[in-house]
Amino acid sequence: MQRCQGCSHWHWPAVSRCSECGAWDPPWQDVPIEGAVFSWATTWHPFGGTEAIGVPYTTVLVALPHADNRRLLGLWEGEEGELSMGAAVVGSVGATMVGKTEVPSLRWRLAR
Amino acid sequence: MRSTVISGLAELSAMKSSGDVTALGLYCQVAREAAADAGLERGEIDGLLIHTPFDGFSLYWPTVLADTLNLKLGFFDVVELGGASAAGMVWRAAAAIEAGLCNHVLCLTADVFTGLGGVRDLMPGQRQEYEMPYGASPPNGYYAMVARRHMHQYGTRPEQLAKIAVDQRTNAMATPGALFGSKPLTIDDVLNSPMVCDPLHLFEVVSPCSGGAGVVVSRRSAAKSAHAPISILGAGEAGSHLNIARRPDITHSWAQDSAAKAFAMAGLKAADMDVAQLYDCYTIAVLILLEDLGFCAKGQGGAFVAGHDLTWSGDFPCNTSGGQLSYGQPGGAGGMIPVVETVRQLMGRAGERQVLNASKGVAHGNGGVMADEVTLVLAN
Ligand SMILES: [Zn+2]
Repeated sequence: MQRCQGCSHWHWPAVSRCSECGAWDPPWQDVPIEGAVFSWATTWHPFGGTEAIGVPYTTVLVALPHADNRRLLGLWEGEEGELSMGAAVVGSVGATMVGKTEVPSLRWRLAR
Repeated sequence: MRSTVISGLAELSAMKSSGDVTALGLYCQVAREAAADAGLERGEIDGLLIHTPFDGFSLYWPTVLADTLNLKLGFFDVVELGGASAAGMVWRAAAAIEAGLCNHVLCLTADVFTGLGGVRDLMPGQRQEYEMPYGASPPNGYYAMVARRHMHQYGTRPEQLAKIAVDQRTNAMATPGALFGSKPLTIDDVLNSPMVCDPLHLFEVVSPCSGGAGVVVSRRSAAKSAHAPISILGAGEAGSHLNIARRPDITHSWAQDSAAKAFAMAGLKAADMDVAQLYDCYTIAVLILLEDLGFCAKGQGGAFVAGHDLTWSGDFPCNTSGGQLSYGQPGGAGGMIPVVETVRQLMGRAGERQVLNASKGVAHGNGGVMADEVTLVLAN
């Protein structure tokens, strides 16, 4: 993730300039893909644009303790019944088809 | 804004399809009906605010509409705050009149439903790139996450959310033009309806349709309506992020700020309101707005809706024309429903569902995922 060299603010989505202090091109820093479940939702009826993901699928919002608890979205790889608020999870990078384009996307599962 | 009033209104029936009629056609119809309702001739209209319709984005939209209607304008613009656009138009129109730019502003919304693809393509790039690959580009996913968080933090129950849809359906049954006005709902009906995005059920999610609605904001001294003009006592607007997920606590919205400004300007508080018309893309939105506007404490929304009758004849008349959940969501015109219905109630023109002695009301618009918030405090 991007972390501002001027004010240490974490950015997601990526920015070319820090919204807090105005520094240009905040550098990227490796962050462990692990965090705690903040909320989730299971889609049974897609709204559009997500047809490539078979329903039902669960989208999780995960707070990253190593990045000031900034929250990242991701697809849930486990059973929905495993999810609970605050559960420790780890992520990996997969890919999702959006229209004809393959886009990298995070996948989360329970930390073991 | 005491020198301006709302002098007229128009609202088309919600339609599953508008056939061959484009949003431009619906805009023209709403414009004529609203102007007539305000008692104005074409030449007296000198202001126009609209939103961008889904079926055809173009530059110069207000000019296109002015050209089509042969209007001569001194003030025209697009207001693009998603579902808060309509409420946002009202205070902008009033401010323009107070600045001396014009006397009568048409504030119009209209959309034809052309499928979700068109909506998606107009979404900001951030959503397309960072949210869609996770299946969360739609508002469904985020509102569902907000609902789950609200349930977790405050013990809010699905049947409490469902009651909002049930009471609004009762209101729609007294509303001509409502898309879902023929069949009552029970809490069990809502909870047994298909899950769209867990924990939100089908009957807790708006159904897109076609339609249009608008109001006329006039200089008080120039108002000609046969109906008693409605005063704009207070207005507030707030927002900063595209998505509520960026907030520290996603169960609070910027509506707290917009409402605080509007009520302070009016010198009134939530409890003074006789009717509340709150943007209702989902049941959870209504619940959060009830809390954020100050009708109850944060976290008490579930108990509030369970303990009050939200129908037009109840002790807390809310979304008295059925709201978008039961009237239908005609795109950007869905955001005009709270404004038009508040004005109608305060003018005493709500017919069968008229709230007795309604003299003050709040109309609230909400855009994005609880992102753009506009509160209007109106009175007769
Ligand atoms: Zn910075």
